[in-house]
Amino acid sequence: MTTTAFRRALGAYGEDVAARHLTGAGMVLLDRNWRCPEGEIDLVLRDGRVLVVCEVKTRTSFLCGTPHEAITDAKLDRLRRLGQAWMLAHEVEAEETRVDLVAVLRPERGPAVVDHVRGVG
Amino acid sequence: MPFATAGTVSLNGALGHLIEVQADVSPGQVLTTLVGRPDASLSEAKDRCRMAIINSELAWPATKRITILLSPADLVKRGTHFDLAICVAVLAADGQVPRPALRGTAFIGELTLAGGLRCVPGVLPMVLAAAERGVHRVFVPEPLAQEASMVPGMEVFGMRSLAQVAAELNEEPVPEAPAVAPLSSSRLLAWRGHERLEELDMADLLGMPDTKYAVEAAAAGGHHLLLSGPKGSGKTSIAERIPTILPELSSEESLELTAIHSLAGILDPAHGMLTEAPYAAPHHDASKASLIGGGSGQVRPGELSRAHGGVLFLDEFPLFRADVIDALRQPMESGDVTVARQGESALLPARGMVVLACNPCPCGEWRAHAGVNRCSCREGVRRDYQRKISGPITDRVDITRHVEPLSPHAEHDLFAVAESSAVVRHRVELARRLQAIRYADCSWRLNAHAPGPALRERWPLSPAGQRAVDDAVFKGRLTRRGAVRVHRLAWTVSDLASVRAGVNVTPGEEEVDVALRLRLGAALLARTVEAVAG
Repeated sequence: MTTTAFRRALGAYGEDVAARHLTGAGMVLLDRNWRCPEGEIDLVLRDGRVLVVCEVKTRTSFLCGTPHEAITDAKLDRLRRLGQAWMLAHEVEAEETRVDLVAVLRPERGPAVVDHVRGVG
Repeated sequence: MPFATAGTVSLNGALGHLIEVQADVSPGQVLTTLVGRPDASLSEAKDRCRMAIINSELAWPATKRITILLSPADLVKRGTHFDLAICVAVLAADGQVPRPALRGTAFIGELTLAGGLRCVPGVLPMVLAAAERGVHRVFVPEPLAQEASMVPGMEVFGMRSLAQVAAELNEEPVPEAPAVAPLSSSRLLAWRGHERLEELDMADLLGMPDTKYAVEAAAAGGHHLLLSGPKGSGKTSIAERIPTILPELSSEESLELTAIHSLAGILDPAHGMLTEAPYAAPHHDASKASLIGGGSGQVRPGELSRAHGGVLFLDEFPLFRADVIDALRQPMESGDVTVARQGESALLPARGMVVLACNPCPCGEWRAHAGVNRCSCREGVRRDYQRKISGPITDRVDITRHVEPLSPHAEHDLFAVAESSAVVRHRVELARRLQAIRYADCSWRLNAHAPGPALRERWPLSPAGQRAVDDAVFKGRLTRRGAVRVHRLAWTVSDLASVRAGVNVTPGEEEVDVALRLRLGAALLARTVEAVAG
């Protein structure tokens, strides 16, 4: 398997795990991998009355830093704008939006570890 | 609650403030913020702390948002000794050390990236301040443990690394760590020249009964002293020996002096508390900041503070820069130094005897009375020099003495017996004890520090004595400030007379006459000198 293919597969796996984890926690999945010219939202969910834009980061180890550290100010801003763009495209209006992070650690053996951070930034 | 508080101390001059380092570790964007007015060197602490924790095989909460507040937030904090408290607060907030273990505890120390502790100056004043605010346990770098233990009732932990501190807090076995280098290791040469001073004794000096009496009076009452005289007359020799006749420091003075030395980073922990009267003799090239105290950012005590409770000797004082001499005026009067820096001011104790020495002219040969005057200075130069001597600064000096060189045959006088320092020191001690009893309910201990109004009201001169002082003021020989100084001196003269006679002497006409002579630089009568020296 090439590196690119491996990374794509790992990303898709992480998103599956995250979606299962969040729906299991009572959230409603609205959309997956929604794209627009500005970028992509991994998961769009509804948590009660709150629209949640969720970024999923999947790693096989934390040797090069944690996924949490990958969320910079610029990335947060872009996710918020993408959330607005998604609402515009689907003609819905949420009173409140939130950006969440799901970090998935998939070690070489053993079960995957999921960390859900509600409200990044 | 992912929140914890660790105590440390911020220094502002010699004054310490207890600082709460509050750390909050909670989910959110990963970011470490340090708030509460840190200065540049302190802002770097978060990077030092992160690496120190990781390299101590503890876990830095890398998936959390960390907010560190140095409270109270309005006080500017500087220095690198906050590292340990910051790390401990973060570890406690993250649940890696128990929060109750931090109660009543202060943490002082800089950290290396490897997680080792480093020494910082000023630990004694920090721990003193912490003790005042109810802290009963303190963690410091190992070489500073002895210094911290000088504070009574304090439980001191001398540690080598962050890992050791964490283990101690968790009540686990403390791991090994490399030893911490002590603070004074930066001194490459072990210069021992200052030990020369320990060999000195008043008995080395023959003759000079006048000057010796003046020095004894100065030491007994804590008066400032000016010695003037041609070169080779023994001004420096006698000034160097003043510390040998000063009694041991009181416990308060000792603590203050040790705190000042700790602040300056020159305290030798092997010596423990400083109990002997200090002696400082800065070169006349000294800057204002080195003499009075200053420095950018952190306030460093000057020579005047380092001579707290002892002697500051300015040899050839007219050669000091005029602004340096002027800066001495206020501290000579008040006994403390206020150093103002960027919207904050630091108060440093500086209550020492100032001893000034000068030649009568730049070449040092001019003599008013002697038959041969070998002075080669031009009249104008000499007058400029004298103008520099007489001025506001000499008005603040209680005792002025003209030192004459010993005549050649006096040096071989086998019958002349010079008193040893121990004998003189004993009299000084007794005289100081009399003052301590007299001023028992006051904030000062020595005659030289007694305020004028209090003296006039509670410890007046005899009517005849007061008349003599008023007369001198009326004739313009004394300023009003001079009159107060003569009043103080008269008490010192009385105390010395009391010690000598074994009866209680109060300042009458005789004592005021001696005080006036000391103040105005007139020769003393033989009976005054002998009454003490005989």
